[in-house]
Parts: sequence; structure tokens; C-alpha cells
Amino acid sequence: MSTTTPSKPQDTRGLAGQTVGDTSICQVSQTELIYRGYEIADLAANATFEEVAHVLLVGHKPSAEELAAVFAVNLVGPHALTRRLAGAMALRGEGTVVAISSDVVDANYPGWGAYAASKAAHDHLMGTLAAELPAVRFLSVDPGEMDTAMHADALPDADPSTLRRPADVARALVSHLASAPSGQRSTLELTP
Amino acid sequence: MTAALLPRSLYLQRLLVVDPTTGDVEDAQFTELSRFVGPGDVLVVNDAGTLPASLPVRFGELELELRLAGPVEEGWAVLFGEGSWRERTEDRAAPPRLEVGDVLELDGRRVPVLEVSTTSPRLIRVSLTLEEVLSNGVPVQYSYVPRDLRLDEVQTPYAGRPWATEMPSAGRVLTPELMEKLRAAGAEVHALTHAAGLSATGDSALDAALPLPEPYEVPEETWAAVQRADRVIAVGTSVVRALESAARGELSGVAEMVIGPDTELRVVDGLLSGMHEPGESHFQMMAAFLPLERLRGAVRHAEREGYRNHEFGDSTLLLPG
Repeated sequence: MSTTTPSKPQDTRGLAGQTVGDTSICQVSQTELIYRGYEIADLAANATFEEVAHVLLVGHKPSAEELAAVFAVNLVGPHALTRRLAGAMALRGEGTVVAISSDVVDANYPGWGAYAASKAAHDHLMGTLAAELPAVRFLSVDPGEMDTAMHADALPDADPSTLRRPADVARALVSHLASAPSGQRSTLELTP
Repeated sequence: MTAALLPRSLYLQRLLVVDPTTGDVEDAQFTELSRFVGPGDVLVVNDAGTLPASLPVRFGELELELRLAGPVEEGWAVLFGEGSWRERTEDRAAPPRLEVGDVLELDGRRVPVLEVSTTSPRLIRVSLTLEEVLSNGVPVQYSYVPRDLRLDEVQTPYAGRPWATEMPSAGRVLTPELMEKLRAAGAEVHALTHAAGLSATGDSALDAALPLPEPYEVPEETWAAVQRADRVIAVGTSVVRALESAARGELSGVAEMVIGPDTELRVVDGLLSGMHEPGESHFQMMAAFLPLERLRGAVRHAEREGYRNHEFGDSTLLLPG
């Protein structure tokens, strides 16, 4: 944060005339006070207390549209694609569908609700497909915490050296497929 | 017979079972299909996926429709005049008569006419990529259907390689769950791929030539199952054409033969198909399985009992006891 003193203050009420600075949460200019991209007056007039808290903690407003978008990407699309392909696999009497799941399914991490719900729902649909089509294997695999852009966005303070490298995970996943149980979530073991 | 106007659920699908040797009929539900088969039976399906075969093209100021007549790599397509699928094909304006070297436009790309068929000047050969078809095409539409059909509504549950220009509709509701039931009853289910083509064009010269030659591929494994089967049941007329062509030639090739009342079937014993009426080419093919008089009797029964026909209609199972 940088602070400068105006050379010629004309009005010292409130923050007027003060260039307070520019952080990831807050920007103050001569005329505006902006939190996470929202004008303070706009937040005051239009947002609930919980929404303001979410904006400050997570960075943006949660909305039904965003929840629907998360489900579209993590659940509806993959499931539609899986159904479309599973019929041809069932006809041949073989095939494997792998869903990348997550350990967030088992816990309740603040700010991870939409993601976790979408992953839990997808695991459930994979389990149902496994019961319906025994000739095809439906695997949900938790790859562990990986050093990805998503992880960095969510937990910027995490030490990348404690996270799995995606390339290692991909290699381990291939050998995991043969033994992984169909219809349930398994956790990927990574042998160094 | 009344047409089924929209894709219907498996649970509304009726099954008319006809014994070709006696003409006896039984009214059943499609979900009961496994009741009629057992050990020694081999069902063969056509796993071709349906292409979005209807492409919007321009020729000068004219906005036309180009319908693929077969696989994209073959390049044969039928030109339709101005207007849309909401008009019956036979009522639509005739397209301009194109010659080799004329250039159509698809999404801003030039598509030259490479060949004009001697069967009809509306049947032309062009060069397109699968990607161009997938990004610009929509499924072939039917004037009796009250709304646009989506691509996923004209796929069988087991559709694979996009090779058919219209849905191989006999297997439309043959779900993986139902397939499991057939296998549990002791029957085998195998696949071949047949590039099922257009059902009608509204052009009398072309329609008289249908079905056009269609590429097919029968996997070795499927052919072996067919050879050892007691009864081979084709799911769809395209499967009859592919298997009977394979029996007379190669396992993979182009099916030229047109099957009718005089065709001696060499490998196929039974047929699961839609409801077909006299005058349709599929009715002619059914007549290879039983005498025309018995077939007409079954159609009269179906009309009396309110069976539905066309792409999303009910099913007929011709199965010798």
C-alpha cells in the first residue's frame, strides 16, 4: 500500500482528497471507494450483509447464475457426455469412464460449497451409472491437492512444494485405473 | 396410421410382434422385448451416429439447403430449394440446376460442385470436412414434427461414428438397460456400422433410386456371432442391407442391393423395425420376411389398434418361432 500526502488539502472531511491506495480488496480514489470492484454506495444499497462478507472474503458476489454455471461445467456437461458415450461402451461390453473428484466432497470448507456440491453430485451419478450398466466401469478418483492455477487462486498462501505435480498425478492415475473400484470414489496414492 | 409427432419415451413405445410363418400378431410393449428372445438369438444393431446432415448454403442470392446423402468423406449431397423443412419436401421450390464448377457458399467458405449425378441433377458431390458439417449443420428435419429436432434426439443410445444422415431409428429406444435385459435372457447383442442415408427427397427420380448405395462395415466378431446364431435378428432395415450385402460380398463395402419381396435372405431371420405401410421402401424390405398378404394383415391390425408410425413411432418385430 502506498500513501502520499496531498500537497494542498482543500477538504479534510472523511477520505476526500486522500489517495489512500490500491489493494486487492479496496481501491480509494478522489471520488470513489471501491471494494472488490463494487462501489460502496452500490453495495450499501443493493447487497445483503452476507453478500458483502462473501465479497470481502472470496472476492465476488455469489449468485444463482454462478452456482448454475459451476453445475453446468462440473456436472451437467460431463454427465451428458458420459451418457452419450456409455451406451456404445455397454453395447461392446467394456469401457471405463473416469471422473476427477475431490476430497472436498467429504468436508465443508468455507467458500467451497458450489464446487463441492457439484463434485458430490457427479460422484453420485457415476455410482448410479455403475449400478445401471455393470459392463462399464465408472470411476471417481480424488487426485489429491495439486499445484494448479485453480489451487493457487483458491489458496494463494499454500506452499507449492507440498502439492502434487499434475504430471505425476496423471501418470499415477493411469496405473490406478486397473484396480480402482467402479461406482465409488477412490483416492489416488502417489508413491514417490 | 397416425404419426408419432415427437421423440417419445421408451415407456410409450409399443411393440407389434408378428410371426412371419403364421401371420399371428401379439401386442406388447417395447420394454418387454427380452421376453421374445433367448439363447441362440443374436441381435445386430447399427451403431452409426446421426450427422447434422442439413447444411445452410448460399448460391448467389439464393438461400438453399444441402443435405448430405451419405458419409461426409463421400461428399454426395442433395440440394433443396428455398424454403424450410416446415414445408413438405415435395412442396418446396426446386433448387437451381447446378453444373460442375458452380460454387456454393457455406459459412463464408467456397464449396465448389465437383460432380453432378446422372440420377438427378439435384444430387451433387462436394468436398466438406466433418468439422464444417458439425459446426454448421442441423439434423434433417421432418415437416410433420412441430418443432426443430435437436441432434441428441436423433441418436440411438449406442451411437458411435457419425456416418448416418438420418437416424437408424429402429434402435432409438434400445437403451443400455434394455440391452442388459436381452443379454440376461441369453441373447447376444452385436454391432455393425451402416451409413443409413436419406429417407426421402421429394424428387421423384431420386426417390425412385432410394436407398442409394451405402457404405457398411461388419466387424469380424459380429460376423462370427451371426454365423453361429440360431436366429439373427436385425435391428433396423439398414442392418438387413449390411448383413445381406456382407453375405454376398465383403465384410466391409458399399451396399448396392435393394431388398424386396423377391430377395432370398441368406443370414437374417428376424427384423425389429418401425411401423411401415404399403408404398414405403421399408415395407418392401419387410416383404422379404413374409408373404405380402400376411404383412398387409399385420398393418391392418396395427391401424386398428392405434399404433404410431414414422421416425418416433412404434416398433414391429418380425420373428419366426
